[in-house]
Amino acid sequence: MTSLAFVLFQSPTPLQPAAPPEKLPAWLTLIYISGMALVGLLLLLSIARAWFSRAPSAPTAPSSLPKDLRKRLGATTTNRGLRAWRWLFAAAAIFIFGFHVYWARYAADQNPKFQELNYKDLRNRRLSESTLRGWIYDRKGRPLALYRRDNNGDIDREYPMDSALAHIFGSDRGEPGLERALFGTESGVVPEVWQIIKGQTVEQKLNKDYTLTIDQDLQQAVVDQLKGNHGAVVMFNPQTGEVLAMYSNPSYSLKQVQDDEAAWLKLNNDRKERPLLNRALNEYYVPGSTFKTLMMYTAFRNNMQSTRFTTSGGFTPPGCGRTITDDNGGCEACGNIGIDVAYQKSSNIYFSYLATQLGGSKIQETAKLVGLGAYDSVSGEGQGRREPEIWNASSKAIQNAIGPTESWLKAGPHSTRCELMYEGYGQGYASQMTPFQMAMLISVAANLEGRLMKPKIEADRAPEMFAQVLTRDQAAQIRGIMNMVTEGGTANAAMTPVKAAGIRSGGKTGTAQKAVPVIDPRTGEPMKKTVVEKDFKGKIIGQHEEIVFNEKLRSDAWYLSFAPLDKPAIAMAVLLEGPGPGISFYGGKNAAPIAAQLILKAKDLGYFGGGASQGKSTAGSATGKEKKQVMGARERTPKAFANFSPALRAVSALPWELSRGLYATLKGLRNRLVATGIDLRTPSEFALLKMTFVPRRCPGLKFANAFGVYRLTSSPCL
Amino acid sequence: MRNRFSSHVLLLLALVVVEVVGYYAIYRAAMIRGYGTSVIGAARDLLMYFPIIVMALWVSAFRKFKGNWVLFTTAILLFSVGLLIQYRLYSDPEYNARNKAAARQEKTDTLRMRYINQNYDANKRQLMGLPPTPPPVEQEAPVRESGYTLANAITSSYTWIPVFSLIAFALAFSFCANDRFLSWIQRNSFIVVLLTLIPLGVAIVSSSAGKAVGNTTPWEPAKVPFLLGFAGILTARYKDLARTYWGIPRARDIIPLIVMAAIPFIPFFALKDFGQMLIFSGAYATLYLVAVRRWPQLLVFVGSVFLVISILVVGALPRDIQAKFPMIPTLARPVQHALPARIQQRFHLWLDGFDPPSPEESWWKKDFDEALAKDPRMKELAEESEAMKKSVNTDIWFDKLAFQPAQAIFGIASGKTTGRGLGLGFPEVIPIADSDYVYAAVAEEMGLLGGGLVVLAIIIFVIAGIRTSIDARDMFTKLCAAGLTAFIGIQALVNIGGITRALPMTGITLPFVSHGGFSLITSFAMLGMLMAFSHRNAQDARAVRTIAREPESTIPLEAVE
Repeated sequence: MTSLAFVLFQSPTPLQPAAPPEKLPAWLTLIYISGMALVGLLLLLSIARAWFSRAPSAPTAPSSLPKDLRKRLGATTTNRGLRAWRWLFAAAAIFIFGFHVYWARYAADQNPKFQELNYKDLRNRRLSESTLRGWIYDRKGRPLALYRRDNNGDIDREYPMDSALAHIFGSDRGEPGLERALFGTESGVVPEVWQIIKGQTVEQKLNKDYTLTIDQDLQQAVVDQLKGNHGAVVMFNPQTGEVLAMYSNPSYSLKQVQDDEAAWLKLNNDRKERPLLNRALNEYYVPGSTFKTLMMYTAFRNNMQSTRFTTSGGFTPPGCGRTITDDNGGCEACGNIGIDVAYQKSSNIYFSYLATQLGGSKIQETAKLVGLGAYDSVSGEGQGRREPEIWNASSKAIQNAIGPTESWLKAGPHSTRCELMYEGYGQGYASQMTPFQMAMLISVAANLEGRLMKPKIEADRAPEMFAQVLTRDQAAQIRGIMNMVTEGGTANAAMTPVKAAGIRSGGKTGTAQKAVPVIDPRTGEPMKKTVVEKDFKGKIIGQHEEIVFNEKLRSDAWYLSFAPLDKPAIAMAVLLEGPGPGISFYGGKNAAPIAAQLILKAKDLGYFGGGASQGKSTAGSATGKEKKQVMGARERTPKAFANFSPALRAVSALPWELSRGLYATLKGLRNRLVATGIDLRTPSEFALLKMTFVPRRCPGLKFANAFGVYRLTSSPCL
Repeated sequence: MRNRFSSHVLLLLALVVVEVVGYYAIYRAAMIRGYGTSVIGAARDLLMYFPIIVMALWVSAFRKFKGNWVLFTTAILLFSVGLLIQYRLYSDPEYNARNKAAARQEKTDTLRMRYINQNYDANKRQLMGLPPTPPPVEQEAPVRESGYTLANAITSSYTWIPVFSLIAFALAFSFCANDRFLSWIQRNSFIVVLLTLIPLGVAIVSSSAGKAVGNTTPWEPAKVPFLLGFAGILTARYKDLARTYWGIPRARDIIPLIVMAAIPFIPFFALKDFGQMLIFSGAYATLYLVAVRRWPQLLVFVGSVFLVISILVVGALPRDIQAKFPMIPTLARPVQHALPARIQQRFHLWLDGFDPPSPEESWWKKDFDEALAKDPRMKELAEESEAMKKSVNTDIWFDKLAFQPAQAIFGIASGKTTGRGLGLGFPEVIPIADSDYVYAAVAEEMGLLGGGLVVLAIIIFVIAGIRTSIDARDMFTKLCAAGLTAFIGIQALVNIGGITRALPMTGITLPFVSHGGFSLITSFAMLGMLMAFSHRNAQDARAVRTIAREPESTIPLEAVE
């Protein structure tokens, strides 16, 4: 039976790509142009010849006449005019040809308007329709962007997860996402004649398949959790920097935008929902209490983690005229508190004090290590810029396509106490944070070595370190403190289901308030008002327009978390935008339950099961050669199939060989049926085939079934 | 290379061979995209060289042509390029099909299936819903066969227009080689001009928007009699005009001439064919300057022309450029009201082509509202907000008015130096690419080299034409030849300039290369006339040599009549 399985598993080798058929017309074109040019040159020669051997046919008066008469009777002056006209014409023709040269060689690089409007070039659309891009798979080899042939015979780009990955993939219009970064089809990419002859075809760049680190199931879980709220979730594997899920709600449907320009325009101009905005990467939020994490890191790095503070209800730094209190108006953790209790109870008082003790320079140093921008002044230089370089990616285009906006704060040697006291608990000049950055922040503690790993989205890249922030012991200690948040801290109640499942996790809640502009219902844009500046005499010296902000602030909810405690496999940041001014969302109440559900889902998918969640993706393109290997006998029921009905689970408990043989027979049968034109996609067959799979212990070996859910590769079982 | 008939016939045969290569290239490229090109069409085109060579033979053997052959061969070179591009465009189902979207879909599907069959393995094919093994690759049948039948070829205008052009060529040659005809024209030039105004008047009354009978302009052949008439008038009067008082000729002489020159402008203004107007003014200016060589008149004339042009330009400038200079907006406003919308539109496209005009602009507003009325979805989008209206405006601008020039520029840019390759580019997305925008199609598929070839051929033609004019022994011939050369040269430059944004776009075609409408017939008629003049020059030259050889001759040379 194994030999039968061998034979049936074999997939045909792909046909050798023949020499591109465009070469022949390209050669012929060159021959044509050369032939015509030759004819033209010969004609030019013919004229030039007439020049030199000019017969005296031009009429001139006989030389016996006096000079002035001869001039009047002669045609030389008229001819001079004609000659001048001839050269003027030639000059004008060359001048106009110069415009052609400009458009052909320089406009594409140097004319910004031309580049911007390139999307209107119908050739791009023709090209993207006629060339096939590579396929994009998730980390387990399931296709996220593929081609499908519908009933009319049209081949269309399909996105099985449509809006779940819309921000990551991007569309043909607007800012490029991964689709355009990986498979950019602009008409400049198509080779011209001499390049075709050299052998360059457009397919070389565009047909490569990519495997992402995204997990389809986790991404779907994130989508389900965020339904109905504006917000974002970013989930990393803190040990390697892989992005397991990244989603921003509201999102949009890629399918809808694919052919419909009006749909895109409408989305672009929706200033209230802003569905095209990737909130995970490109929107600033006030971090609130989650920023205390950075303060904790700074304290540990500078050996100040033993700082203690005694409070009875507030902290009043001298000279600032303001008292910092906790969220309840007094103190949530009173008396003499240390960093651990302060973090657990989210004490603004303590961290405000700590920030003033640490000073701007230390905070600046640590902030830079975790990927934040720490600027001495808020002059606007470089603030709000993109930081594509933070990605560990194979090309600049990918970095630029998913480049996050740099989160920043004002911290430096000249930071005053009054500024720092707010930054300590995530307000003031520390109000520009993206969810992506906050996920990176918690990944530092979740990493066993205390490193921040560069985020990566391509599965076959080697992990790269961004910075070594903490020592191993410090990271372990901090993880312990973060665990306290879930046990008796601000996330105690929300983490109950996680604790019930026996998972120990760590995290930090945050609630922050942000001023939101008032949206004018007529235009859909933020309302503006004119502010008139007057001098002390009351005379008007100037005026400008300002955005009108709502009186009531919007309250956003954060929760940062990682799990499990001893060897973290996931680290995430959950952000929920408050529904509106006046209605409050709290970190512990609204964001933490979402994180709890996601942790449970990750457990179900096997991420915590002792190292089973690392890279199961295929390395390289999908069109690679596929050899089969014999597997060791397995008899355990794979955990993933806990979801299946009892009958199927029973079957899946069959001995390994038997189930493999069964699969092979079924597959052969199916192939034979498909070859005769019958397409089998019944749900029961799907389930039947899926159940006979290899348990996850074999990271290199997966099965390809009729639906391509798993993939057969060549690496042996470990 | 000598100016002999035999050498040029060899060149013509070489042209035919090269042309066959080009046609084969188009055939192969079409197979890649899955549609078949018409063999009948190719045969028809290549057989067109047969009457061309017959015509050359007739001119040479029957009429004993002794003039400059370069004119003929260069014209046929341009004609061949035009023929090839026309074949390329008309065999493309997307260009000439009724259902363009379906044709386009077929093309892209063919290309994709080809790629899939070559590169996808069974897994991917199954995921896509295809059978696991690709069909065998032996037969290369195209998806869509060309539907061009023999009957189509026989009745098509693309067969008959070149034939008529050659007949026009023969007629023009015969007439203009005849001294009696030329002197009749000279004597009755005024009547000739008036007579040709009649069909123009009919055209104004019957047509609208400057184009009649589809896309043709039947008054194009009127250019030739105009030229002959004007040259005749100028020949009769140029000596009087040369007699100036304080730099200006007598009113008796100049006023009828001005009236004469102005009369043709009126019908073209009424027909809104500004391109023709531009060419006419260019040709007439050339004639005047060639005939009357007095510096003050030159300056006054050129100065007044510049003044008129600058007033028009300033008036038609887009508003943001106008605002940059003081006083100009005030000066420009009356001009703007007088200028028709089309000129303003053309100027905007020329100077600000990549920016849409504001929806409130008087000349754009009507088109904008029309477009919104046609597409209710866009209309409701535009009403949502100002920003939305701007985006919709940009879309409509590029899809309606700026579509043709924008796609032409994109085409030229994608051609780069060596072009995309015959049949491998996308010139079919440019509307009317086979007549007005043929240079853009050449630039896309053959690149800078192809464009340079066309420009070089035009320059050669003009040089040869000017040589004909220089060698002419009498003023009438000189002026006619110069005028004809100016017509063809300036028309070519204005067309190419319009496409490459050196000048505002006008609706005129590239001579010899565009096969649309009456352009080809007029061009060949002009070629015939030029060759007739060249023939006369050669005959005169021989006569001169014969006379000069007689040493006792005291007949003074009447150099210029």
